[in-house]
Amino acid sequence: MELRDYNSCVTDWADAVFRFACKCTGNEEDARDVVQSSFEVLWQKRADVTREKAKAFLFQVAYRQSIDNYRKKSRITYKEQPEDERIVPQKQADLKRILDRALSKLDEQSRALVLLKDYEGYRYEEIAQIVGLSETQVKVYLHRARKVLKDYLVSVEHII
Amino acid sequence: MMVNLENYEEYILLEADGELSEAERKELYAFLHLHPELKKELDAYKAVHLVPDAGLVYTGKETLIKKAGGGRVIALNRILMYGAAAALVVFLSIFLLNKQPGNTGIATTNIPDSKPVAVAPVPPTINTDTIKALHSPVDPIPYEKKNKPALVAKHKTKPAQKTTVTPAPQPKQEIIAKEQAPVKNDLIQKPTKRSIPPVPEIENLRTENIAKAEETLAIQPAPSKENSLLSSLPLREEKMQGFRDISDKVNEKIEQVRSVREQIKDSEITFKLGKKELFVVKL
Repeated sequence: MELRDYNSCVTDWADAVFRFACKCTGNEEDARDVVQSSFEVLWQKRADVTREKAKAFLFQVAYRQSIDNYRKKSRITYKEQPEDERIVPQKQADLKRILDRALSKLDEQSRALVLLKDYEGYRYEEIAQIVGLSETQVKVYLHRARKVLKDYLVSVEHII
Repeated sequence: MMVNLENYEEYILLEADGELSEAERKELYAFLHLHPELKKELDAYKAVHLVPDAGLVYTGKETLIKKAGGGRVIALNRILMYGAAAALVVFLSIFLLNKQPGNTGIATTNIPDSKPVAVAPVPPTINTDTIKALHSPVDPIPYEKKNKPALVAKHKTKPAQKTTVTPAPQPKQEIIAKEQAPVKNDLIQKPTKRSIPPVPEIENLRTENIAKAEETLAIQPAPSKENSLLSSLPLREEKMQGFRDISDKVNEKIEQVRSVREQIKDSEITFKLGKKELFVVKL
């Protein structure tokens, strides 16, 4: 990977990695450290990583660092996300908050699987390579995570 | 595989993840058409599909950007390692150059065993003309015979007691001619080439002196400026020999230095670290 390719990876995927790290760690400061570490590792390994596989490599490093970060802290401190300045319908804003809270209920691995699937649109086999699981395991864990999120959402709607 | 009441949930989850093929999707929707109450589950799973928060942006991307030429950090200890390796190579090359055969760095002088030459008994009544004739200049002897001790002085000093015997001052033209003359391998010069005036008083001794003069001429160093200078000094034979030895050694060293300089001239020294070539020094 050339210098130019590396810099294009920064401009293209720094935000995506940051969002992923924010959701995984629940903390913006920790997410910034994860992003910096991930790109530093990519820079060091640039000779071995092609431009096409750089995104998956970044998420792989960010996932491992987020897991390590979570295990160090042993519990997640979930912060309120910054308010979106765009005009969002109240119902959707409520749904968004509910989903964020539901996401925090998941374990770190399931949370990462949901984020990789919904945020980045990776397929099962791509997610398996990033997190180091088999495709069948990814499917099973993801389906379980979806059920948890659905049940939480249904229960909240019943309360509301 | 047909969608049924036992596996419909798996199909619904796969549809929520967008993993179904076109044929499987049609099959699922055909099943849900038959079971409309199950369609709510599909809608619920699609509702929990997360959407990226566009408000979350990483600020400070410029700190991640690498610039050309300054992105690589070379550890200082690696620089020191390369410098130490280069210095070691330089010292080794100089050491090996000085260790070339013939260049021991130690002043040595090969002085062949000097042949003991008996001093010819010169009668006190020897004519100075005769002495001058005996020691007249001869053709130059090759360089390798220079180290042979000069024994002509002995002949010169003794007669000097009565007369101031000094080597005849050779005219400059003669000296130049002799230096340019080709070196002859035949070191023994026959006295017949020289014109010796007949002296009746020493007729019997003449032949003996000539024979001994031939021996001394065979090992006599070529007349050089240094030897002529030394021979002109009022020194005893022992010290004269020592000075000659010193001058020979100095000349030898000068020749060695010149030869080394010629050998390393226009040569190149390549400094390598392993297989990697660091730089080349052209002398």
